[in-house]
Amino acid sequence: MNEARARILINLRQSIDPLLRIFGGSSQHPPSMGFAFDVAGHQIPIQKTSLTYGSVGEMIEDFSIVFGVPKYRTSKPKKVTRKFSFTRLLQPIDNLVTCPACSNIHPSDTICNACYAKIHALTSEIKKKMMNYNPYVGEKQDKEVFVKFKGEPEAPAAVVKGKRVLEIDSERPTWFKKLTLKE
Amino acid sequence: MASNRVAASLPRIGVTIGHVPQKLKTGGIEPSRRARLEVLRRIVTRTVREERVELKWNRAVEARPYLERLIQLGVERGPLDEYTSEMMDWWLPEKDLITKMHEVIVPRFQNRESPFTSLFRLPPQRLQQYIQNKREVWKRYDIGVLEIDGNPFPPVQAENQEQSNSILDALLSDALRNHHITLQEKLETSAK
Amino acid sequence: MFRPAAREVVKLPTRFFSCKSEPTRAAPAKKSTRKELAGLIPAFPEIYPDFLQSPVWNRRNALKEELERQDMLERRMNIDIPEFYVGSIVAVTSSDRNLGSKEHRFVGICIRREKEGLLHQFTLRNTIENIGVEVMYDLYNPTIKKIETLKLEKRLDSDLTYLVDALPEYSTFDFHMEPQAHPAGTPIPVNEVKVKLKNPPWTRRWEILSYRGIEDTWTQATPWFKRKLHKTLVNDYEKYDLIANYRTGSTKEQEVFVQEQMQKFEKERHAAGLTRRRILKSAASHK
Repeated sequence: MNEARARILINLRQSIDPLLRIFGGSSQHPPSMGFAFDVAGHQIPIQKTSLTYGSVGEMIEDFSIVFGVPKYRTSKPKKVTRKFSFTRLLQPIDNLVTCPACSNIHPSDTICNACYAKIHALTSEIKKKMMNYNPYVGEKQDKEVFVKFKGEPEAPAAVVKGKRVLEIDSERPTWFKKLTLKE
Repeated sequence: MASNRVAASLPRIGVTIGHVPQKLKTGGIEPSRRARLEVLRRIVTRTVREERVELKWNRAVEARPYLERLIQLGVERGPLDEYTSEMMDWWLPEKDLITKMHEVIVPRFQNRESPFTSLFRLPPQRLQQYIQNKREVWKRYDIGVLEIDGNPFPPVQAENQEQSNSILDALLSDALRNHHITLQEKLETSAK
Repeated sequence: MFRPAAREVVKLPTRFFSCKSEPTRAAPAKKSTRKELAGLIPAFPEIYPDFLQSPVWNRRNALKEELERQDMLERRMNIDIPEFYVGSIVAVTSSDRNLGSKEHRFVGICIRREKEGLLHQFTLRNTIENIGVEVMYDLYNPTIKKIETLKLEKRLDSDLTYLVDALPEYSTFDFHMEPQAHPAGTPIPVNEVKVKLKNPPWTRRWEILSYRGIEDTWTQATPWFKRKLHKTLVNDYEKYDLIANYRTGSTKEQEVFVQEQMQKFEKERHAAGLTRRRILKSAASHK
């Protein structure tokens, strides 16, 4: 029994070494497989022609007693489900549109992600200013908010009308609706 | 087995309302009808405080009618109504937000019909959750942006620009703009 | 000079392209339901529960409701159906061919009003010779000859089923009771009487149901049920669910629509000189 096993292992080494050399891709010689028990002590004559495997398939066939193998045949429906179930199928996306502002492509039932990223940044900035109050000392958000951007002149009182003015350190983005300016 | 009618009928809400209440599972809270309301309350409170929030899409859809109804109660019944104040007390546990509701948000909608909120959907996003033994765990999220209309933030979607180049349209839009300017001047002079 | 666009113009934002997540457009300001319209009744769902839609959303059928409404209006042109609430004392005279007088009059307190449309029912309760009697009438039953409201009032609850388990004096009414007139234009009085229940067993666990018109049920409840309370599903937080009754309840738009239809029907019949009977009326908002 021991002899047989040793022969198999030697065969394996002989057949795997060139394979590793091919598949490893590097110019270095791959390390030979080492085994935990002594093979040389048994002095088995190596007949090169009959013991080396012609192909990997042949080798695997011989090794079927060592590898774990399926005990039962996998049924057809299982195979088909594994290969072609709805999670594996690729669905075409046919609702893509181009954003008229930035030409980014996005599904038609959503808003443009790239444009929203800019809005999100500005919103956070305004929100940070807006939320800068302490409810525990009786401060409240009891006024409408008016946002004043950098470089803009003071808004007239009729427009502000007692609103809370938040000053933002950046320019008014072009995304805003064009405001009518008069000299 | 109807006990007393708690509310006289209100107008329709102009937003989609699903026919099955969603469970809204949240980490740390066992899913139940009570937990669902608590999750919704958290969202509504946050939206009233911040006026524009990003949520998971299904939560945003579920919370939107509640927010609409709360604003509608304020608009239709006013702050003195018993039922309204009871609902405001429960849905907005932070008392400064009740002031905000009655003094800032409700006056915006006095001359407007429902809907009072907007909901936008972002493209599905894949976000990294954590790295476990060199294995990256990503998750797909559908995100919705829920906002109360009339907020001070930049608009999520740009208003429709005049795309026509015909001379008649250009003249008409110019005339309208001039009309607005004169209106504004009148407003200013009356304010002075 | 800084000059923003006029903010007073209420203009809905228009979008670049069709977007499913886009909010539903607000209805144009054609008819404001916010103001009370002339001649319309604010307490319509309470006075006319038969004209409401089904509480089951998928059983609402506009055509069925329309056809039934026509039949109901026709019937109301032939019989005077007065305003009454749960808690009012009502007398019903119905024809019965097996009786010598060919008609039967029953007086009692209205304890329930159920169902919508032509199938609307109301139940009267009285105690006759120490036996509680409940009679359920179909409102649009053609054998009903006359319906009178002897005393127009409300109770603290809109369902008085608990009178079954109450002491008999709370549901004992004189058959020869004189009708009490309600002064027009005054609000409907609410009788704030709290009934005392008989000793258990009861038909329902009244101690865990939130009825305001029952006095101190907890003391009377048996220890066996008190011990079971911790196993009972207490869901009193559900009153805060603002949307839960959205699909079961009625909307203001529907109520206005039905009332206008009733007004129109009335006007047509009056113009034809067929009758002077009025269908849409309310004692509280009468001018």
